[in-house]
Amino acid sequence: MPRVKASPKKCIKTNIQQPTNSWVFLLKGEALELSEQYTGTGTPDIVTLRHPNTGESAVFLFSPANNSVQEILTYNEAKRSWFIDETVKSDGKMHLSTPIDPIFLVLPYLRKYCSSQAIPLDQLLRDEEFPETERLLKSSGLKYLNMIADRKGDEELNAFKYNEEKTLSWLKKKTERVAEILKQKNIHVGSSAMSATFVKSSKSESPADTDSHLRYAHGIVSEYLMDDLSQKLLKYLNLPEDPQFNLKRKSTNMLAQNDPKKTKVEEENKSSTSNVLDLSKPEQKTTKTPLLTSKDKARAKAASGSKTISSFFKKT
Amino acid sequence: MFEARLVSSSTFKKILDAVKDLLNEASFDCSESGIQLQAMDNSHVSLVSLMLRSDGFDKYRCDRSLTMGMNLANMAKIFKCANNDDTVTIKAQDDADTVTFMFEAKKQEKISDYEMKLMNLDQEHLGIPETDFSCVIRMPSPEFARICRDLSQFGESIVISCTKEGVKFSTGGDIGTANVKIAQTNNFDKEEESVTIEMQEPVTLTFACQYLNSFTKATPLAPQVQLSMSDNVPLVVEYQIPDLGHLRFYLAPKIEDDEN
Repeated sequence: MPRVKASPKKCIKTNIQQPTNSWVFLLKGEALELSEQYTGTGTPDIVTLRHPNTGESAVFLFSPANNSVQEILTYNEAKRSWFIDETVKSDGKMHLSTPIDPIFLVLPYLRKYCSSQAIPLDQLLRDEEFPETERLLKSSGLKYLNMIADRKGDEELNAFKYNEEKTLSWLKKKTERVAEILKQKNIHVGSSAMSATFVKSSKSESPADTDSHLRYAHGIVSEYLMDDLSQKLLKYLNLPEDPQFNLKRKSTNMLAQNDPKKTKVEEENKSSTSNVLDLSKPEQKTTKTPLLTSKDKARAKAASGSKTISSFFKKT
Repeated sequence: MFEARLVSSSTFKKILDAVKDLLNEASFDCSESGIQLQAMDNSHVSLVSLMLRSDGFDKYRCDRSLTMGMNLANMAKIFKCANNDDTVTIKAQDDADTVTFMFEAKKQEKISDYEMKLMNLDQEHLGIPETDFSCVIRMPSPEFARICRDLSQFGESIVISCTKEGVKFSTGGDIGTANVKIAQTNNFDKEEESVTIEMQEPVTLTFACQYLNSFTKATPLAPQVQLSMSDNVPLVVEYQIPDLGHLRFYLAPKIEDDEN
């Protein structure tokens, strides 16, 4: 069964409004390690960046020298608390961090601004809403940016132009690697339930099996891609579009939108995580209905209560 | 090859000023008989119909009919660059994607060229049937503009009722009500100042102020305006462009409350 995209809210900080702020955080060791050249303070930083899938704010962690980025995932169960020493922490959330390829975070910017012209990287990664985006420049993973973009001009200028062909082949490799791991770890991805002790009689694998692994992997990778790119990747992987899969995702999205509580929490988060107004949503709206001035609106209002003129005249 | 030349660019300026309020873009259909424009506003409640006859131009040549989609705001920008007494020439190749406007000053001492990209507009054409209207009112165009402007302060819609006694424009709103009555007057010395009413049967219709106000942007084009009304048929507001053609606005009436 294809993996249904998880709700992006899991990576949004949700307990920021608590003044006595302590988190239960599981961190992989390498984020705390300092590189030899680095001589600053040795604590990793938690910052908000634009999530590559939703375009909304999400929490990420930078290692002390900014050279690696990790995404923060929150696991939350309604009725749970932590015992910490002698105290009880009522907030039972658990935060986990896993390294993420910074190219995924740069990809939306590249796609948006660099599809027709090359832009120097330091200009590209300037996001007024998320000023910390600039830190991505120092991350070591960015040296592989030529996997998804063409370098234009001088080495020093560091200007890139988005290349969709390259991007898709890069994503394909990523997806195949994820599928490989899924296979190695023997993670069951089929649509039917299967006993954990079930052993397949024949070792040879059916092509359908590889397909479902690949589809599941595509679902995982798509969590870090804009929806349209995810669809393109699906085509590139030669996987037929699964109508059920789409339906499901849509319905979950709708659910998320219809839940007033959830959106409220999200708004609170937004106001608390950054002082800058989140403009990502209205931006999307304006592209759909361009140039609706107040005059047009007034006219539309004046027009209400009249039949359309074409109903009086024959169409020719 | 299409070429049309008009001695005074001010007529074009006035036409643009009159329609650019309602329309963002429009296609100009050029044929041997002249230039025609027909377009609905965004809300599809009103229709603009412009006819410029070929014999009204100083020089007119149209080898093959062509349709030119133009952004009216951009066209207005270009005509702002022309002086009122400049001669304007509109030129286009048969299957061109640009149109050229050439402005020549009176004494030929200055010639300017503006080339504008054309747009591909997907617009449906409506066939407008010939209608015998119950009421046809002719009145000075500034007077009509004044009434629309005055009444729009009080309400969102204007009721126009035409009876034997004359025409009554009325509106009502939060402040109160407003009525303007106009009786038929014949002024033989100044024909453009007279009010004439041709009436078969009385008509009362309601229209949106906002649209009427937009129509009156055409006031500089003609000294007289003609309003034609019949029950359950759009109002026609017509401005005659002297020696050249006409500009007509059609507006669907408001649906009466008692009908709902």
